[in-house]
Amino acid sequence: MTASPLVVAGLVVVLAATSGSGEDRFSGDLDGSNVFIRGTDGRTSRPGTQPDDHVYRRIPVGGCDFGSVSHWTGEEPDRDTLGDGRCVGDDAGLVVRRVCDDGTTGVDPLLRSSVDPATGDPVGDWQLVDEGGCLEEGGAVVVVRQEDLRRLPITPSVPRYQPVDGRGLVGKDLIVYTDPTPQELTTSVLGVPVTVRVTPVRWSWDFGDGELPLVTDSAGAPYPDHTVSRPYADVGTYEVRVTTTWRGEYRVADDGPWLPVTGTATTTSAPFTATVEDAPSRLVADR
Amino acid sequence: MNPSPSVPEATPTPTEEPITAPERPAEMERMDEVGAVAAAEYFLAVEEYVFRTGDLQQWDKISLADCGFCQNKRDAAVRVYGSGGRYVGAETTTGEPAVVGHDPALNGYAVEIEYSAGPGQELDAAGEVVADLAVGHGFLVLDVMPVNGEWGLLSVAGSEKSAS
Repeated sequence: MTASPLVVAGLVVVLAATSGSGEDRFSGDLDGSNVFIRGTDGRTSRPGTQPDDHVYRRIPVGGCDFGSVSHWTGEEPDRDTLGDGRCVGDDAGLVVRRVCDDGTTGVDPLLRSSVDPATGDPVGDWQLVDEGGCLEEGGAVVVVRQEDLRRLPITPSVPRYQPVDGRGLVGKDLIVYTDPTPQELTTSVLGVPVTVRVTPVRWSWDFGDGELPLVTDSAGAPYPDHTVSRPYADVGTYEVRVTTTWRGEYRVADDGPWLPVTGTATTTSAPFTATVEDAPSRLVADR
Repeated sequence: MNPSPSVPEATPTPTEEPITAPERPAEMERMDEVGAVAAAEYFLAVEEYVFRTGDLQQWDKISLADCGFCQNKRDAAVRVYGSGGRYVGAETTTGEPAVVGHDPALNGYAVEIEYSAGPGQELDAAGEVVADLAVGHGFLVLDVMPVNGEWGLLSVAGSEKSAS
């Protein structure tokens, strides 16, 4: 059996039961009727460079209302005993995909699990993030993916530098820094408006001198608190640009939870010109 | 040589043993099969404690939201003990637990435990019998799964025959 059973909150039906004559102390209280929810292999997404250490899956579910049996004993529900309409799905695996009012297929529930940092495998319990559903219902039925993130008109980080005129001296630091403030953008995924928040997490400074870029997770700061700088070895004119890596989160409703976007996006700033000059020493007369 | 003074023996008076809440086994810290079995045994011990006392403090901690058995047990305890009644009898014996199912995605386990329950009664506040509990025997399958790092009880199913 490749399927994994899932119990999605709110779908388990419990029959009322009372204890009384003719029943032993357990029988009257047993789970008399369960809706068996079975997930099949779902689309898996795993955060890449995000700090979120969860794996997310949208998993289609199958459901049958059947008698008092365990969820996990591996027993197949006896479909002959099921009433009409109580078992939903096809013969292959009782997979349920909701058919929406407009005839489209609904989005599967989203679940997440912690990830073992050593193996990358999901560990522990799965938690329901959203119940999926149909677009006309709104809610968290959309997923912002990396390709959506990369289509967003993220404003590139604006490089700032000292000396402010970009004119420096050989062997002296050119200080660079930028603004780490997150940006919020609105977009539309499958017709549903979504707010996306992008946060810069890494900057790659190309100083135009043929050296490897300086990659940092610090936005830097102006003198004297600067953290990102590079001295030029030679006189010349250099084009300096910064490539920023952005991590994304999104939410559908104004008060909905922020959900991580798998993957990252990058922007590259327009370059500025740094002019590096020599400063020969001269003898000057005292006045 | 003097005979030792005779001391009248104290007449033993029947006293009811105070019922103490079961202790969580250390194995429940493990999120594997051993932990699942320990959790299932503990949950049955808590059920016994609820049945004898009506104290739901531990029961509410282990009951997952969708556990119908948990809710039914809770309702029954509140109904009986909340009105001053109690249960008597219905002593149970349980067999060795066995894992009969596992869901790797949820890390949920189905743990089967054979049980036998003796006859018992539900009494009202006046001590009158309001319901008889029949002698029972069968197999309970407890579905247990970790939620937020703690074992919880998802459902309890019953059968007259073993699933294993």
